[in-house]
Amino acid sequence: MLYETEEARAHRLPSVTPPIVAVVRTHWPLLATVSGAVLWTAELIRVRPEDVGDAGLITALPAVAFVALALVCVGLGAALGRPQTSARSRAAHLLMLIFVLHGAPALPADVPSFSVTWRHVGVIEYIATHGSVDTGISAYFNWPGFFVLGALTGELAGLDSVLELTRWAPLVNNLLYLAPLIMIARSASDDPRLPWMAASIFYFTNWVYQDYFSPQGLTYLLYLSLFAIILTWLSGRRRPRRLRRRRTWRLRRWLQRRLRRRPVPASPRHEPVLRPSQQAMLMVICFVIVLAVVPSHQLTPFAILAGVSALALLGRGSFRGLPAIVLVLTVAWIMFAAGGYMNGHLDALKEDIGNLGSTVSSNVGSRVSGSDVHLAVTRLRLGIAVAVWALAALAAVRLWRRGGADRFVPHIALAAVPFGLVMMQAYGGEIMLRAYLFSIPFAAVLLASLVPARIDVASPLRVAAFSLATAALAASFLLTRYGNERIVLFTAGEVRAVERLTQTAPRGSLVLAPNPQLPWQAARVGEVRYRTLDSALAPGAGARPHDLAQAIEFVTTERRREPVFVVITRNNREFEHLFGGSTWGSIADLERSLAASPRFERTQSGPDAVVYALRWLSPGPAR
Amino acid sequence: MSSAVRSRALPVLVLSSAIALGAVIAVGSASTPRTLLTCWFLLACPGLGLAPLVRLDDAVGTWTVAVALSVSIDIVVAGGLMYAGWWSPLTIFVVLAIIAGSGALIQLAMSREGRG
Repeated sequence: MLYETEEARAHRLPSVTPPIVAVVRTHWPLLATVSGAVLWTAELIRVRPEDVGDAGLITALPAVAFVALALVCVGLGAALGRPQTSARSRAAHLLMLIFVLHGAPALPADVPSFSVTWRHVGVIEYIATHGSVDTGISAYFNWPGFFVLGALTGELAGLDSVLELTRWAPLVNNLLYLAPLIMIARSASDDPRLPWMAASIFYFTNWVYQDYFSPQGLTYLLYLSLFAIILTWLSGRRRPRRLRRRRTWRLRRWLQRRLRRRPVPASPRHEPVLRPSQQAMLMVICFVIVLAVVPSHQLTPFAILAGVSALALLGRGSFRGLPAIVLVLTVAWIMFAAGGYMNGHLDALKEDIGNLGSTVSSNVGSRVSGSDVHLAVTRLRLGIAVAVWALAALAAVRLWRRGGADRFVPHIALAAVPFGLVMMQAYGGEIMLRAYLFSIPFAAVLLASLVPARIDVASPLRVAAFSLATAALAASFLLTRYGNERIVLFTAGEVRAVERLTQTAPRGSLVLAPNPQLPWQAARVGEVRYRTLDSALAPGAGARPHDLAQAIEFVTTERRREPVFVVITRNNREFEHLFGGSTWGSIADLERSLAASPRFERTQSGPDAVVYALRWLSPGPAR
Repeated sequence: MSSAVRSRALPVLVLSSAIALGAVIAVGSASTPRTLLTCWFLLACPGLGLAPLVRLDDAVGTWTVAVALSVSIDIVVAGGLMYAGWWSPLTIFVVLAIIAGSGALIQLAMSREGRG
């Protein structure tokens, strides 16, 4: 039985309740979660991208969907709050939660969503077609590991395009994250509930949206797995120096005299003891993982380097050479394989190092802009991040005061070190998001440790408290994670329009769009050039609206022999509405200017997309 | 399930997955089962061939290592062959199948030895 311990079973009196009532009474949390998930799925299928408002997915949900989500939360809250819940049942609840949070929300999309996903598919198509990379076309080719794997998958599966696989990438990635997350939490405590609570906190607070079909989504799995291996099997502690240890104990005794000790989550009773040969094999596996991460993503190796260095400094890693290996491999890759990219960007990258003010400004200031509703969503995201970090810090202090910090030291360190990345780079205004992402798995363990370890009675009040907390987290997750769905979801109409343009544009064409929020670059990468007006036009180009067509014509004059197209889709307009106008002007002015210009001809027109071609340069096929 | 059967289940699964994927690639038509089999093979099989050799005595740990190792081996092998100028999905599959199959055969041999 899923919700009954051996002991309880042994002392159970013969039951006189009907079997169905007994089943419901015992399994009601799982029944609630499953029925909620089914209802949630049924309601999400009915959502249309056009119904989504400024606050994202939550605005398009019918009332029944909230009832469904409440059922899931009550079931999960009860499963986590009741001490007699078995590990298998908790796992079942977590799997349902992952489907509800990361699988079902893919259902409203008729076509794969998120513009970056389409770009990644284009890079994969290039590798599959050419069997090589071209660093002159895109920076992605400097770190091609993920794309090579994508090309291999598509070729072995016999697919024309891996685009359809992208829809389920968030669900698959999050399912794959579960096992290393459980291991990371398990390495801190023997409390059987802590890993599941930590994993739940992770899934509710990970609004960063980097688990889509992307290099970072995949390397994050490797990041989690690497630290799960290190914390579980390679955390051999170095003996501290005698003097230092004496001081530590003196300090601890002093603290213990003054602070009342309360129970904290139980430490692992028996840390797994491995033979040297097993440890050696695990070190080789760690090396292979690093070998795969380095050519796959530019930032993850630095997060790994920061983490393993911190563990080495704390004496919490028996693989002492790992920081040096990560450093050498990363530097070697940057110098030799990604040398071209680094040469072109070195000055900009050097400027960011240590420039904390500029980094914070580009990461926070520039993101807190746009429509009022979007601003509220962005502030909620910042609030959740600050709350997670603050509660993690509180948990660390609490553990230290109660004498339980020692076993959580690696988790505290790994939750804190990603902040070091903020000092390094602005990373296109995303470094704080990424630092948050790298720290949540460990911060979640600290947060879970705040829940009292010994709960012997499953009172209805406690179950209600857990369910309420879960419902609050779920509601905030809907806003923080899916608050941008208005620009993330595409309609079939705009996909058709962009595909028609891409397929028919002559080789060497330049395709321009007002901003990057459209389903483009998924095909003919290297044959067709794609550029946004944000990068092509100077600020203020649309000071006089009718100048915009002329400005576009002017910046493309060097391409007299190649066709130039301007595509404007529904999501370009939504992006502008949500995030505010561009430096060169507005899309409405652009459309008016293009329509009035004798130089431009409209080649496609519909509610979801319009395409203009430079008249005297546009050849036949696109018309 | 007895421990002998359990210790043989994974290597047999890995070997049969490699053979099945090889067969559907040979047949040549795209289908949903082929896509699922490809994803399963690339995500789990090379790692499942090797990870149990560490004998971690922990199912969650073994699967964590297996998946991470599979993805890493896929990237290293496919990336290495591409940079060497030998990009060929079929060759990469053969290399991965040899890695997965070798590990699985060693597991089978070890389980037999353990029984004897």
